[in-house]
Amino acid sequence: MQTGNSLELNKNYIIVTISLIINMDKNLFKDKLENNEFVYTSEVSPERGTDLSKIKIILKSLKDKITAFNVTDNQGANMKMSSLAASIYIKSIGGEPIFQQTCRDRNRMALESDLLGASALGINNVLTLTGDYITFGDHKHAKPVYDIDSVNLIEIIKGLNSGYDMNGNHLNGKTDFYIGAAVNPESNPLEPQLMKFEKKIKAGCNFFQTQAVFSVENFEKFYNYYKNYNNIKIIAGIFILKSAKVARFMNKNIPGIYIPQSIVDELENSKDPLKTGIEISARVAKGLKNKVNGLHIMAFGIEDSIPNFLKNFEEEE
Amino acid sequence: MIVTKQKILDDIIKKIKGSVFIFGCGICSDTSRTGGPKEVEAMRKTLESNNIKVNGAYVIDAMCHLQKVKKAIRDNKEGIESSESVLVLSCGSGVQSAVNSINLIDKHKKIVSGVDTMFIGNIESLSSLKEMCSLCGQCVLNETSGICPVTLCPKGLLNGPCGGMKNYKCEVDENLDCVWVKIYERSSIQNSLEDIKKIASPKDYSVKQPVGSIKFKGSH
Repeated sequence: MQTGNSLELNKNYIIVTISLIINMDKNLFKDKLENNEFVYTSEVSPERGTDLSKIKIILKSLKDKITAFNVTDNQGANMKMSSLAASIYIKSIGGEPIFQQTCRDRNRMALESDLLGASALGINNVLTLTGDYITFGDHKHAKPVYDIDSVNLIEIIKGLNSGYDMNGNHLNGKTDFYIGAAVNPESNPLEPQLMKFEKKIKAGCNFFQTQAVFSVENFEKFYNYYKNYNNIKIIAGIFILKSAKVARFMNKNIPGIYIPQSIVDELENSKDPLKTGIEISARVAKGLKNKVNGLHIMAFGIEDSIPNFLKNFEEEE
Repeated sequence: MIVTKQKILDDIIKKIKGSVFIFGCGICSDTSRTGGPKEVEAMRKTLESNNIKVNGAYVIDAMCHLQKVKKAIRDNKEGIESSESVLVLSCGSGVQSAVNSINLIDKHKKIVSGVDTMFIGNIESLSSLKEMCSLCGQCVLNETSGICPVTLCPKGLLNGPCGGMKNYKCEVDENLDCVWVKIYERSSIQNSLEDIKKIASPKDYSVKQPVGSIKFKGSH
């Protein structure tokens, strides 16, 4: 049982923690993008468990190079620590989180209340996603929610930013989210994807993070479409492949991924596939550089290769 | 029609107490091959070979019709009264028709459901049934060129495809066409792309609350 004193102590602890967080309410990610500075983002996947040490290690090693960290929300429909909690943790140790929210696991009410909580604790970037289907992951028998979709979610967040919930009720304290969404530039066919992209812009999206891009040529078609939208920021997804096996696995199992056979062959014939993988990613990234506002670097389990990738990418041709 | 699937036989047998009377449904369960005359007869033989006494069997032409169920109970009074359990090979509506009707004459009789109710299905052929409507109570077909994303997209998305669509196919099953590609193609042909380019609002789940029911005024 808690005594009056320990309650008082807890209260003080919470106030100190919150003040610390509130003092860090600068949004470097938004500021850079809006000033047309090139940004780098990367991904952090919370654990299935309560351990935060891996996040801390990634943050420590990449904080100086990466502008913001995308915190996945039960990635691939696998149950993990919440993106909200991990985002708050990242903010508390000096990182800039991008809080991911998928529509798969929470209804509209739960999404809204988590957004209010995130905003209250200093989270200012959000990435709205539909969410991989429930049967991909480790809770195959769970009810897929999808009460609303990503376009609706963007509209809701825009409303929260204006001080109202989705039903027009006034908020006591509004949010200040920089709103992101996903787009797949290599989608085949592209037109239905572009229709949704346009709806997301209409709904109030500020920036887009693309699915991993492997073909600059395919990206070109998407670029020709979006270059007309001046205010939209595009961050291209870059995936560092460590082997031909991973490439084949992704082509077969990851929704929306298109890795050309020429890349699979290049990795297959390489004596040092990771080195080749880094070179391939840097080559693709260089091809996209002048068309995008930043890169989202995905390196699942090989985050230590990100500095090498950046070195490769930033090298003059 | 309502599509049903037979439960695991052992699970049915475990639920039956004493002797049994079997009801089937001549409309949907017949087409689903779970409770038409053939399946009711086969179930009788199966139960008997498992040493369960079957006191009678009857196929009602629509078990969702309470009045028809009540009449069938009157017509089979002896068989039902002499049985401790009644096995119903019909959808969940049919089972509850039996529960409500039999409850009026005997509150202790055990009613056992022999099937799982799966979906409302279109009959593509006598051997192929397909879900095309999920009874959401807020039809969007006028906006989506007559193809239902609520049912045919596993995520029920109302504003276009998810990022998982690949080469025209759904991320959940590569044999399944992405319904949003189909809707887009048909809307192009129908010259109604403007309809799907408008942002669709979230569905209103209050339309069927607390429980779906309609009461008509006046005669039919």
